[in-house]
Amino acid sequence: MPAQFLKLQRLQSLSLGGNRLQSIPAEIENLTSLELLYLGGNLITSIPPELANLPYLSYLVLCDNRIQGVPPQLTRLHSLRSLSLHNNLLTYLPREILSLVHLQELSLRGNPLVVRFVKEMTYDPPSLLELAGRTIKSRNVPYSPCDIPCHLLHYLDLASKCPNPKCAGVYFDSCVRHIKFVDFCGKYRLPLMHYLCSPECTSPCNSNPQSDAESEDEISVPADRLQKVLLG
Amino acid sequence: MEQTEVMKPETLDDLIKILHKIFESDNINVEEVQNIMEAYDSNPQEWMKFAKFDQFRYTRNLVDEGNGKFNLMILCWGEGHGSSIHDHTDSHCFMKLLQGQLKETLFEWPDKKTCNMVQKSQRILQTNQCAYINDSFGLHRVENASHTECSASLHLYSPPFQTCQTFDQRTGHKNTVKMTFWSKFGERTPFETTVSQENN
Repeated sequence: MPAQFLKLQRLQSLSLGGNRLQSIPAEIENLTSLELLYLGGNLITSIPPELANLPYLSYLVLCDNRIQGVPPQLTRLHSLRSLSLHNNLLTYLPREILSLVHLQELSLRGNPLVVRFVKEMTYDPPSLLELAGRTIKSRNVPYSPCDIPCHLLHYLDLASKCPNPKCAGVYFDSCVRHIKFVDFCGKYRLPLMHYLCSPECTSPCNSNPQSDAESEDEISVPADRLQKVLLG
Repeated sequence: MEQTEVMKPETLDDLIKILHKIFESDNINVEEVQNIMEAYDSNPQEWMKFAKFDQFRYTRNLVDEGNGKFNLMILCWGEGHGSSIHDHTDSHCFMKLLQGQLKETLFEWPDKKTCNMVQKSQRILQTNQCAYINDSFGLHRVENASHTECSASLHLYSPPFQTCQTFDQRTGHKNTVKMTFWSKFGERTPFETTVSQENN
C-alpha cells in the first residue's frame, strides 16, 4: 500500500480486494476513522495486532488469503460486527474472540479448522527455575533485592498470570495450548484456543472433567443473540 | 397433450405474468420454467427498485407472491457474500443470475457418520443463466466469489417456504432456521429482518 494511503485519517471505507498484497502494514492503525476494510482475495499471511487499534472498524474482510492465525488483540475491535475469514489457513481461533459481543457475522468456511483436540501427550515440563518462580509468585513468598541476585529479581517480574481467571497461578516460559469447542456466532463447535499454565489447570467452563483426552464443553450463546437467518 | 407456448418474456413484468399463468396448474414442468426464466434478458432498470444491497451480508427482497403458488425474490450479494449450505424444504428452487456471477457448490446430504460434508460439484453461473435444484439433487451453498463486483439473482421457490435447514460443512450438523425478507415489493421491512446467524 502506498504510504500516503495510511495518512487518510478521515477515510471510512477502504477496499483493496482482489490484488496481490502480501501483508497489512502496522501503520493501518493511523486510519482512525476506518469503518470498513475489505482485503479479500490477496496474498496476506498474517494480521498485524495494530489492526485492533481502529476503534470504529465494523466490517473486516480477510477472506481468500493465506492467514494462519488471528491475533488475540483483535478482541479490542469493540465495534466489529462482521468478520470474514473464509478460505484461509486457520486451524483454530483465539478464545478471546468470544468477547466480540457485537459480532454478528463470521465466515469461516474453507479453513482447516481442527475437529478434535487431543491434549499434547508430550509435555515439556517447566524448568526448575520456573517451578521455583511459580511457587514464589503464587504463594506470595516475600522477597527483596537483598535476598536474591538481581537477574532473578528481573525473572520474577516476568511472571504472567494464567489466562484462566479461576487459576491463581502464573507461568513464565512454559504454558500449554488448550482448545475448547464452542458454539459461537451461528457456528457449531468452533475450536477456540487459549493458553493455560499447565495441563492440569482447569478451564472455568470445565464443570465435568472428562476422562478422555478431548474437551467437549460448550459455551452457549445467550438466546437474545440468536437471530433469524436470511437464506437464498 | 397440452401444448405449452414458450414465449420470450420481454420484461420482468412479462416474466411474472407468464409465471403466474404457468403456475395456475399444479403440475410444474421444471424445464419449461427454467427456459422461461433463462429467456428473460436481465434489464437492471426493471428490477433495480427491488435490489437493496447490504454492506454486511446478502439480502432477500420479495418481488411477487405468485398467488400463493410461488415466491419470487431478488437476492443481492455484495463482494464476498455467501450463504450457508442449505436445503429447500421439499420445494422447487430456480435461480437466475440478473447481474454478475455466483458460485454454486453442491453437497451430498450428510448421514450420521459424516465428518466433512461431501462436495458433489461446483460451478460458476453466468449472467442470465438459470439453475435449478430440489432436495433430491442435494444441498447447495451459493456465494459471490468476486472481490470487486456485486451480484444479483432472481429466485423462484414453489411452493413457498419459510423455514429450511442449514448445515455445518465440517460436521454435517444441522439447524432449522426461519427465513426473512430484507424488503418486500421494493419497501424495506426492517422489523421483520434481524441479524443473521448464517453458518458460512
